[in-house]
Amino acid sequence: MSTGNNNRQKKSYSLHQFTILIAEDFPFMADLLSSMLREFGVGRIIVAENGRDAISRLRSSNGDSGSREPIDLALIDWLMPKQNGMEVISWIRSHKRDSLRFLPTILISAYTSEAVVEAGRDNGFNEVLVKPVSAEKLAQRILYVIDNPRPFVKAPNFFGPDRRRKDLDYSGEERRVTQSEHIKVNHER
Amino acid sequence: MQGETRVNIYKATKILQAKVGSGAVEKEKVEVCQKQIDENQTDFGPMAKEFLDELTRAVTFARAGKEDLQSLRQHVTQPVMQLKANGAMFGYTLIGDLANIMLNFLETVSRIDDDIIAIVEAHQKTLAAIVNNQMKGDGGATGKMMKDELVGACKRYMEKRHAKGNS
Repeated sequence: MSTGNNNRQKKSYSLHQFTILIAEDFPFMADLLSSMLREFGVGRIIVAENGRDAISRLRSSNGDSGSREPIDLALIDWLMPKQNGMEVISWIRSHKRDSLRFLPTILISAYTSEAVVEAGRDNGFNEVLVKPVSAEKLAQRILYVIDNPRPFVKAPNFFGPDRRRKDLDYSGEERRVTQSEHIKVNHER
Repeated sequence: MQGETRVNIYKATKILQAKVGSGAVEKEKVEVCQKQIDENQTDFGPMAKEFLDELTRAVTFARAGKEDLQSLRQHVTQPVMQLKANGAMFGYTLIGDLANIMLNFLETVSRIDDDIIAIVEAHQKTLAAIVNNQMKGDGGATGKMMKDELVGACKRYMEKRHAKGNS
């Protein structure tokens, strides 16, 4: 089964401690995603019916007056009324609270073009899940985010997960600051 | 200004792994979920209607001269992609095939005219017929005919445009 680490196939995740936000305006899709996540064993699922609702729920769970069970991962549809997925991710990545700006996010999109995947990446999403969604693809994306946390990059025009998936040789000037005084361990919780 | 180009790296944390452990999602659970998707009995018709109505509005606006090419692309692409993505969850794979033809066509045109609007309208009517007749899967011979018709219409348009451009 490709939905987990092959070396540890026998062991299952304890997803009952996990809280996932689904921001999806299409009720059928929101129900379907919820149902699958429940089957995977996710303990708490919060559904937001549009972008504004998603922001409100993120603010109340992970914001200044955050709950004791903050949202661990957000699945965000691109096309939503009252603030779309790109506006939601912009709000998340520009928030002052670490529990929000470093929040792992997966963009859900009906668009399959390269431009959409690039837009998702450049706006700070961790992963992209293209509709139609299959159970295996959903599990893979979630497990990938859990097993492969990416460093975050703060550049003049970007803040989000490192967009480089692999290290390539680079002979130019090193402009990335990685000294210990500049490394901040994220997630205050 | 070095300060403006400096890039800060924040180390990745294993916070999620610490919370949920590691391993896999059991294969049986994934199969149960996929079965839910494959065997869902929800009627796609009412959901599709919303997107088909959006397409109709785009065509009406375009005919009235209220859409430029960019807005027509946007107003057609959104419902077509929604129909494609959600239709596939209900077994309407033919919708996806037709959507790809339509979207590729709209990417290649550089201005809006009556012929383009007619092709978009034909596409809208074809999609409506597929949903109304619950034509799931590839639609068999009828599905193939529909695809050939749409490809043919797009091809004729491109040939006509090239002929005009070369004359």
